Parts: sequence; structure tokens; C-alpha cells
Amino acid sequence: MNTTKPKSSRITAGSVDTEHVSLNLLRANDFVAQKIREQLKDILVINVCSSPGSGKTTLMQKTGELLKGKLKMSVLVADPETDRDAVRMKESGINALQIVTGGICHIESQMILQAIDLIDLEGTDVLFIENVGNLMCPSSFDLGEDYRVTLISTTEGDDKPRKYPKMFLTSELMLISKLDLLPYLPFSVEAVTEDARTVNPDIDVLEISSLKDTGLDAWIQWIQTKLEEKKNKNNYK
Amino acid sequence: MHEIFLIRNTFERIEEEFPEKFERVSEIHLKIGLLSNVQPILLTNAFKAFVMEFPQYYNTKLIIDTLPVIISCKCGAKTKVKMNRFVCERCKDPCRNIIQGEELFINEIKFKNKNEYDET
Ligand SMILES: Nc1nc2c(ncn2[C@@H]2O[C@H](COP(=O)(O)OP(=O)(O)OP(=O)(O)O)[C@@H](O)[C@H]2O)c(=O)[nH]1
Ligand SMILES: [Mg+2]
Ligand SMILES: [Zn+2]
Repeated sequence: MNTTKPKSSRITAGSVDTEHVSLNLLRANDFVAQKIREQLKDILVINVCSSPGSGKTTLMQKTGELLKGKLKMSVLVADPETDRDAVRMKESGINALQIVTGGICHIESQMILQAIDLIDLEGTDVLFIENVGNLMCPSSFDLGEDYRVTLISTTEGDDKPRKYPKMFLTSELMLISKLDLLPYLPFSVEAVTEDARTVNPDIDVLEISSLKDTGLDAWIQWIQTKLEEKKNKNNYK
Repeated sequence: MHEIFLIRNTFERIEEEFPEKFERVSEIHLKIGLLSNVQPILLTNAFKAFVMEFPQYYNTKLIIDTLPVIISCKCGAKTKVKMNRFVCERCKDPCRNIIQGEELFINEIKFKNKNEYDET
């Protein structure tokens, strides 16, 4: 408290001082994401997003089978509650760690930074992050990934990309999942592809069924191509 | 859905940036792009819930300015995106060069003058 100042020099009540600033609210998240990127520079990191139940965990299990003997994959899987998904993956022989977000609707980079200290990544070529089932909130949080892949299942309707534009804008690949159900549903692959490209003209699109093993070769090929690209880029540095 | 998180972040950012006077914050202006997935009404509600917990901020005002999405095409035209259709109005080309709409930041903060405190 400044007692030496005469009262008369004080600014009258109700006065304010104004600061014009530009303070990014996600700065802390982006900063940590960048740290993760540096730490995992030799591993391909893929952030897998979708609505609840579009088939992320099932795809991870299948991917584990198909990569066996080719590449080593690990998975960080996040859910609001329970470790069920990690248990499912471990049963399939995948090196997996559960992140329980405690009801939070998305993963933040800080959670990933902590998790990569707890999971053994020795020899891992590809690290998948299975995000919380939610097409909104996870789209705003950079997790230090190289690519974002978004699943949209045939049961969800083909009009979703433009309803959740940020997710599709920030994804490099859209996987149309549960293709085996197509005969029973009013879902058009062309329509959903067009909808997604209206938001993001550069998005890759693949059609898969984890249940019937459809289109998974192309998915595996996509992963291998991206891994090679990342390794080559590292070599030129 | 993470509005409470954003409000907490808002106060943390202000504390970080203005450690000497953050407690006297009286008005916070946020710029929020339509692509940030933040609903102003939910944010306002989260803010109300926050100040209930921290009564020292009871008189602090939150002012939210929402910004539409604007893309800038190679042809030079700028288009306000409607219905999430990322297509140039002039040449009809697809375009994802977003120049506005992803904002999520504090652009102005007002602080009450310290002397008002000294008086009491
Ligand atoms: N018909 C069909 N069903 C599938 C396919 N893939 C997954 N499912 C089923 O869809 C349901 C949800 O699959 P999950 O793999 O748990 O989905 P998820 O995206 O991990 O779900 P959350 O983590 O809870 O968001 C399960 O009952 C799966 O058996 C598929 O290719 N075809
Ligand atoms: Mg799952
Ligand atoms: Zn144009």
C-alpha cells in the first residue's frame, strides 16, 4: 500500500486501465504438443478420432494383427472412464496404455506427455492415440501427432463432415468404417466423400470394414507410406 | 464441452501475463472463431459457475466477440463461409486457406485501478 502519495493524486473511483493483448487460450497445450513432437521424432504418431463407437478400438486390434511381423505398434487409448479398451487391445497382443480422462471430453497434450513416460516405446514404429469418442472437442487439441485420422461409420449418416467441420479440416484421412453394413443403411459413400471434401479438399478417403477385413490393405499401406515419408524427412535433416 | 477448462485457462493466462494486477481484472474480452467449437452461451454459463467459486471475480465481466469463418482464395477473393461450405464465392474453387474463424484468444483486459482498493 502506498501511503506516501497524497490522496488528491489518486485516480478517481471507477477508473480502469486497459491492456490490448493477444493471449492464446490453448498456448500451453500447443507448447507441450511441440515438445512431444520433438521427443517422438522417430515414431509415426497418429491421432485416431471419431464419434463414440465408430470402431476405433476394433480397428486398432485389426491393425495390430496386420502389422505383426512388419512394424511394431503401440496404442495410448483414452476414455472418460474405465480401462476396457486397453484391456481389449492387450488381449490382442498390442502394447497399450489406458488414459482415463475422468469425464473430460478430449485428450490434452499434457496427458500424452505423461503417458509416454509410462508406456514402453522401445522399438515402436507407430504410436496410435485413440482419442475420446467425440467429433467436437478433440479437434481443437494438438497432441503432437503427425497425422489425424477420423473414422465415420456407415451407421452415423453421410452428412456428418460439414456438421463437424473442424475435425475434418484438421484430418489428413477419413476412414469410412463398418462398410459391411452398407447394404442395410441409407448411407452414400459418394455423398460423405463429397461432404468431407467440401470442408477439406485435400482429405484422403478409404473405405473399411474391420469385421469383414475390407479395405484394410490400403489402410496398412497408408500407414507404411507415412512412416517411410517421416523417416526420409528425418534423414534429410 | 470443455468450457470450464477454457475459463480456467483464461484466468491462468491473465495471471501469467499480469502477475501484479490479475486480481483486479474487471473485464475480459474474448475473440472466438466459429471454428473453435466453442459455444458463447456455454462459455458464459461456465464463467458464471467459475465466479461462484471465486467470489473475488464476482464483478468481472466477460465479453465474447464471435468471428465468422473467412477464406481467402488464390484468385484473390475473400469468402465468408456459409453452411461450412469451403468454396470460393467468385471462382467456385475449393479452398481451405482460412484467414479468420479459428481464433480462441483474449484480446482485451481491463483492470480496476489499485487505488480503489487502497481507499477501503
Ligand atoms: N458391423 C461392424 N461392426 C463393427 C465394425 N467395427 C467395429 N464394429 C462394432 O462397433 C462397436 C463399437 O466398436 P469399437 O471398436 O468399440 O468402437 P470405438 O470407436 O472404439 O468406441 P469408443 O472407444 O467407445 O468411442 C462394437 O460392437 C464393434 O464390434 C465393423 O467393421 N463392422
Ligand atoms: Mg474405443
Ligand atoms: Zn476464388
